[in-house]
Amino acid sequence: MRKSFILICVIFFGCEKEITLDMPQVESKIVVEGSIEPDFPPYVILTKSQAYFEPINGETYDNLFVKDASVLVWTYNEDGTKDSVTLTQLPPPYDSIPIYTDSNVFYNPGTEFLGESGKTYFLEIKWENKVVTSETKIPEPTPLDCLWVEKNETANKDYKYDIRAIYSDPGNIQNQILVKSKRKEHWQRDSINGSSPKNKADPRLILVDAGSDILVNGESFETFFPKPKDDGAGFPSGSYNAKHIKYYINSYGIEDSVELPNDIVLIKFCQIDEASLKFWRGVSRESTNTNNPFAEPLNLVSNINNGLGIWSGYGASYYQVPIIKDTVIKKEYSELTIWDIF
Amino acid sequence: MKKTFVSLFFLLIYSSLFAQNTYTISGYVQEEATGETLIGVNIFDQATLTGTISNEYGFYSITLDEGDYNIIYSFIGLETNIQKVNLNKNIRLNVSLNTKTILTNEVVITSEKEDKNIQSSSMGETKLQVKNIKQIPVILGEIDIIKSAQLLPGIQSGGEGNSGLYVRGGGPDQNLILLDEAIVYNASHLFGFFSVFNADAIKDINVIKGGMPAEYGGRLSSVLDISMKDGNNKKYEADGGIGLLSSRLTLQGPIKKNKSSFIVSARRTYVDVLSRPFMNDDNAFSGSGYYFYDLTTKVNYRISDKDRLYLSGYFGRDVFSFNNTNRGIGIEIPWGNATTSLRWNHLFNDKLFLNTSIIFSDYRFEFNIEQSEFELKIFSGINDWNTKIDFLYQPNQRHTVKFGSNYTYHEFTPGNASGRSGEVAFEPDEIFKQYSNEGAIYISDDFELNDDLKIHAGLRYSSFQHSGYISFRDYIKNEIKLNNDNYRHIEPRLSLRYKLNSTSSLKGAYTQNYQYIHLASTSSVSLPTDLWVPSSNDIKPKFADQYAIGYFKNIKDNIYETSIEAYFKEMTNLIEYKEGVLPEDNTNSSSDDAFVFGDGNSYGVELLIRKNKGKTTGWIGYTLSKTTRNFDDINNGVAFPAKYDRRHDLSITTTHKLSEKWTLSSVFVYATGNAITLPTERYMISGNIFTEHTSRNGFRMDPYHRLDIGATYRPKKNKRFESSWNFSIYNVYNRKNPYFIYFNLEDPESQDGSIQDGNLTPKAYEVSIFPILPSVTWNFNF
Repeated sequence: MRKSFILICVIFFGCEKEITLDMPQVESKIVVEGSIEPDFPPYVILTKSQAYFEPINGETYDNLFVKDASVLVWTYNEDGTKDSVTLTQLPPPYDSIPIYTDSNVFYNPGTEFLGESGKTYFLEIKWENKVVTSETKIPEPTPLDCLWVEKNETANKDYKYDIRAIYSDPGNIQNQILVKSKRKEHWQRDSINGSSPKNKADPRLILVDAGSDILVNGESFETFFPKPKDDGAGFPSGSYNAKHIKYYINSYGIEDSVELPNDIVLIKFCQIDEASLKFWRGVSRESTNTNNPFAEPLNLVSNINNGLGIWSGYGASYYQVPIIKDTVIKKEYSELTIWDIF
Repeated sequence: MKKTFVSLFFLLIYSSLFAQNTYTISGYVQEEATGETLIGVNIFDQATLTGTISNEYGFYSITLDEGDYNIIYSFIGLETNIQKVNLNKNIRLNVSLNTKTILTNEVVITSEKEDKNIQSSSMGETKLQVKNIKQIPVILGEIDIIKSAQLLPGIQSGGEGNSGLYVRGGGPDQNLILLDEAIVYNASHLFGFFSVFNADAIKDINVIKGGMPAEYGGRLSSVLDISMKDGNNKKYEADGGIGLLSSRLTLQGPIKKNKSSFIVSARRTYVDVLSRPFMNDDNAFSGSGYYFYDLTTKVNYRISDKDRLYLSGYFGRDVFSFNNTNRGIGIEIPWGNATTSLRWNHLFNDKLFLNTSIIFSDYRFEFNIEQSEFELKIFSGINDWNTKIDFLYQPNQRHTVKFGSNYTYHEFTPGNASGRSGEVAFEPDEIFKQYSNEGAIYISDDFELNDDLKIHAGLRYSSFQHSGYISFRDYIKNEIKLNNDNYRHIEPRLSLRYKLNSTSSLKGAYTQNYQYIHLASTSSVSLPTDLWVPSSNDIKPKFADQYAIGYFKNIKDNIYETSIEAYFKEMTNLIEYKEGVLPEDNTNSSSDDAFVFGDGNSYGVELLIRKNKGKTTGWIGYTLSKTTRNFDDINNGVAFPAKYDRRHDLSITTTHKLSEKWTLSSVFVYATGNAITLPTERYMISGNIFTEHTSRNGFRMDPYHRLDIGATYRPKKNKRFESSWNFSIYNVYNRKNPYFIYFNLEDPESQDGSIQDGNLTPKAYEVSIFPILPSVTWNFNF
């Protein structure tokens, strides 16, 4: 919207020119992206903020990550006792992104610190003489009634399918919903390289939408989960692929074809607290670029004291949906591993 | 309070009873050619120069000792009329002024009284006549009364093409915009590029930016009192214009000659119609477009010499639609104002004039989006029922007393949504609305203590009651909270004039104002999504104290008027959205917890040099000012410049009558750049980059300046038909004024750069919109 507005302005009337600005110096802040959900240990990814005009080069990305922080998570039991855990970075070969979690999940399975719905979790991060804190609550999950796969009528390809669902909202509470999805399997091949299709699965869960139940409180209704863009930016409006034949030009310059399997999609449907909603709504708004250039710029509303980012409790329900015609899913996905929750 | 009001009133009546052997001349002043009543005509005794001016209905009353008088009626642009009067009883005298036929044959005698700005006690008040406004060059030939008002010192525009008004450091919601007494809530068409008023139907505009008289209230900063034309009651007349952007047509004429007349004026843009042939039905964007139209009508009826009836109405709509069949999206955004006012003027006697009004005012906004079988509709609005009683009492030449009352019932619909997903429709159980009662009584006296000292003293007693709302949380708890938030305040208004000599005077003013309804805006341009919200338990009324002093001097027989005014204004309980709040977060709920409150102040000096007579007329206005805001919850509690804080604001407007056929005009403006907030940091969440903005309004865009020129050509009139051509060039030297700045992280090589690959470059771009723009408009009248 903003981009098209700028485009319209420039085409019809005026012009645009690049300018340089004198920017004030800022101290970089710690950025938290962390969560906790039932039956899994908490995890946190830590990065740093940079000055807006600081140049970006090959080292920028690696330097963003904070790898030497001490991270503590705790909660209080009903009897007032405190359970706590120190999060450490995942061991190799899982350390390409420094995720802090309870390493017992790998070394001593069964002894790790697990989230429980209804509880409040506190976070404290110490790094370079800074102390960053936050807290969040895991709301009770509200599962979907069912999901199914249905052909997208408006798409121009007949193998494009949507995931639809029926959700019954509990009427007695005001709740907030967050939906993420990732394609665990997504088969592609290009015309030149490789002899067989490759699984170009999404590396992580991507935000589909976040919203409150203000309009739908207590209602049972049909909804659908569009496929988000691969980078999560923009309004999600895509569809998933069912099994189909892909035509391509092979390395001999001859038209060839290959059968590509259907996508397998993991849907994460969560209840979140208000602070998390504000943050994730901001994320979806910012990345859809709908704010107009005259609006007072929005900062994401963080629940991190002395830092940026979010510490969210997810009351999560997971569904694994193979994009196959007439598939109906009524049960939550039961074979979740820790790799599914990121 | 009531007691004071009553006793003051009786005191005044009493004093007039003792005045002996005085008689009153009263009546209406109108233009001979059209029968249109005239506002602001100077009416005075030639010998003593004691006098008055006609009010907004063209009524005047002047009380003098028994004797013979030459009463002079003078009005700029019309021929002066002198009436010989033998005053030995009260006289009703309706006077008509002729159109000036020959420019050079000016009656010299009148100039002695054309020093209203020296004589009157009012400060910061300017009358603009549509006739003069029509000669000022404008963008794309669209005459715009609000943009003309922005050329006055102390009144700022929001930026390029913005018809929002920013008066002495106040926001756009602090202006009381009245069209025949009805409040117009959103005075912009086309996202602020044009104002909603069709100049063809407008007679007169009174701009009050300081020293607000007691009859006006409910806003902190200014009054823009716009009077519609009554309609020619002598003969039928059609006016129109064909411009690049829109066309206009106005019809007026007598219903019953000299007794009753009507005027109907319509305007519509046609960009959508013109672009339709270029967009065939197969185009994905077919059906997208934008247009606005407005319709202004008025009828009046002179029931008797003592009673007149006026019915006026305005209806305007903007419709923006966007279709993209590829994505199956359809968006339609209609919005607009509607007002109706019914007014009755009654003369009790020669000294007491009454106007009673019943006014309806409505503003609504809708946002409808449809994507395949999903539908969402958001609507908001405000509507008012308003009754007013206003008395004008002129017991003798030393007093002009005004008193009256005003009651408004507001109904706010601050943001409701309904939707549909396939077969299931979501309707809120109840449309969420807020209701409130706003009332005021006032009295003021313009009192000439002696020849040198004149005092305008007024008191306004206002009250506001928020009579309940239903919040979402209460609704789900099945508890409906009735809220009786009650506010009552006294607002003193005082201004003084001390005459130094016959050509100069000193003035001072102090006013207090309360404002009970607020515009919550997330944007710096006036967007239709901006919401009006009432004061409640959490939202306290806004309050302003304003002090002003001024020196007024006329030079060369009043050919030049000059003034310098200094003001200081303090405002409390200003309202803003909380940082990071999205307006849609408050859909179907009380939005009160979405706001933060703070203070503001503004001070400045305004200079005006104006030439009203001769072949060359115009004015130079300059303002030096500073405006800041201070909110605990914004900018970490540190004071920051207001969005439209302008250190310098200069405008030079000239009109030169070259010959009977040609009139030339020009406008030059210069303003300090707008204050904006820049992103200072960037960071990554889920692989995407977000920005953090600190230091609110901490950066200035480049200054804004522009020269426009225009020429009007009037070929020789033929008996029946008259036409004129208006040529204008906007932004003559093609200055690229900054409109907004945006930021982008981009890959210079290709589109798919990422922070992971390290191939992005942060960039800032400045966009300017209006380059040099010539335009031509053809106007006709028959």
